Amino acid sequence: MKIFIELIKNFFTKPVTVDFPITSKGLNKPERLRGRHYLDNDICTGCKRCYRVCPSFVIEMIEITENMRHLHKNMKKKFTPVINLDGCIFCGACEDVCPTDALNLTNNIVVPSDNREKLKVK
Amino acid sequence: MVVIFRVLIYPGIGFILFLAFTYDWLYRKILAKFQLRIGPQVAGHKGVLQSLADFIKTSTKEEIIPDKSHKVIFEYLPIFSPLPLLLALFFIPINSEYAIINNQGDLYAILFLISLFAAIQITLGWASGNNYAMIGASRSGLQLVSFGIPLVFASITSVMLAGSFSFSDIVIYQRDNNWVIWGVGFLAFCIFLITSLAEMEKVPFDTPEAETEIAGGWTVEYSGRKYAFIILSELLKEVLMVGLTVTLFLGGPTGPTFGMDGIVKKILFTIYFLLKSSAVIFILSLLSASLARLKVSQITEGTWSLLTPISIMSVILIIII
Repeated sequence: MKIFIELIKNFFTKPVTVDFPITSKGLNKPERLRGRHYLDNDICTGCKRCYRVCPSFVIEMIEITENMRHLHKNMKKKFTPVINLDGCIFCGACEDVCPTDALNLTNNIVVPSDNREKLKVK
Repeated sequence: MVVIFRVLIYPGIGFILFLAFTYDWLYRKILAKFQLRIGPQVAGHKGVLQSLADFIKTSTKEEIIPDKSHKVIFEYLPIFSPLPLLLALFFIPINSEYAIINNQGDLYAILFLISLFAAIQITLGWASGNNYAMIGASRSGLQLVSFGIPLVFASITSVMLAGSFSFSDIVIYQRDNNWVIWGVGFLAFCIFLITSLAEMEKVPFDTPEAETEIAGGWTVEYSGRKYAFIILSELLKEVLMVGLTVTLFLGGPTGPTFGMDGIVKKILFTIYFLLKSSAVIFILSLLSASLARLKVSQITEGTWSLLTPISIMSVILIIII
């Protein structure tokens, strides 16, 4: 009998399930959650440390061409990292090793996409 | 022309299919609410088209025919499996006191068609040539034998009170007097609900399909269009059992008509039928949510030593009163 009372109570209670990813409202994100990367191109020096430390080999360093130069304020910078999120394990090693704190893992966990280009952080 | 409209559209095949998909959505949604989940929500408004989407998606999938299966039965029987239930639903009064088919032996016909579907289930399981399917089919047969008697005795209650096997007479009796559920029929109503759950193979009586034990039971080998038809027949069975409960115990589609007549009365009756059905689905979901799957031995023991004697007692009670 107790279970019926409990179930009737549940019926009039708000669902525990969060309507994610339609809304993130009610989503209980831990403080140090590691989600999608944020790369600050202005302070990145292109030192390749993140590229070397990545255990999943998903960071590639691409050469900055003239077309891309306007995106990077640092004129000495020759390379810029591109992170492929499809293979990333979000370990945070790149964030730890970055000397200028240009690379950060945000708490944005909406990573999946049907477009591979959207899975790249440039 | 009117007859064709009644058979094909309202309250015939079209409306019955609408009910099948809607009731399933309602069942899933209410069950989710009990379990603090959201339930179907993507297809249509609040996921109302989810069951239809499932049916369409399944029917477009690849069909695989196992080597060990009985080819003819495996290929064609699933397509015919919804037919007995569709025919049985023609006996249920939905928009007036009279159903599309009504005669003096409605209940006989319904019970026969339910048993026929159970026989189809067993044959489908056997024709798969799979051990899991065979176990599921045998469990299905066991449930048919176990729950058949309480189902008949529970239905007999309304028949005895109304003095007729015809659903129209039962509905008219309840319209003129009280609903069967109020009074001596309450016990029979409870038994009928439990047996309905078993007939629908819902938790806690889902042993024939038990996914975690026998990988879907008698449906395990069916895929694509064939499985879609099996899903459809299960949905129709849900409508049939809910419809039967409403007809036998809750006064069918009847209710206050406010002096209206003609088409307005029919619409009012349909609304009453839907409201009563929703209440039954609510109770069925509550029972499903509150219990875990029973073992086969528990089901058999429970039906033969508890449900059957109680159902006989309920009939004796009515004879005495």
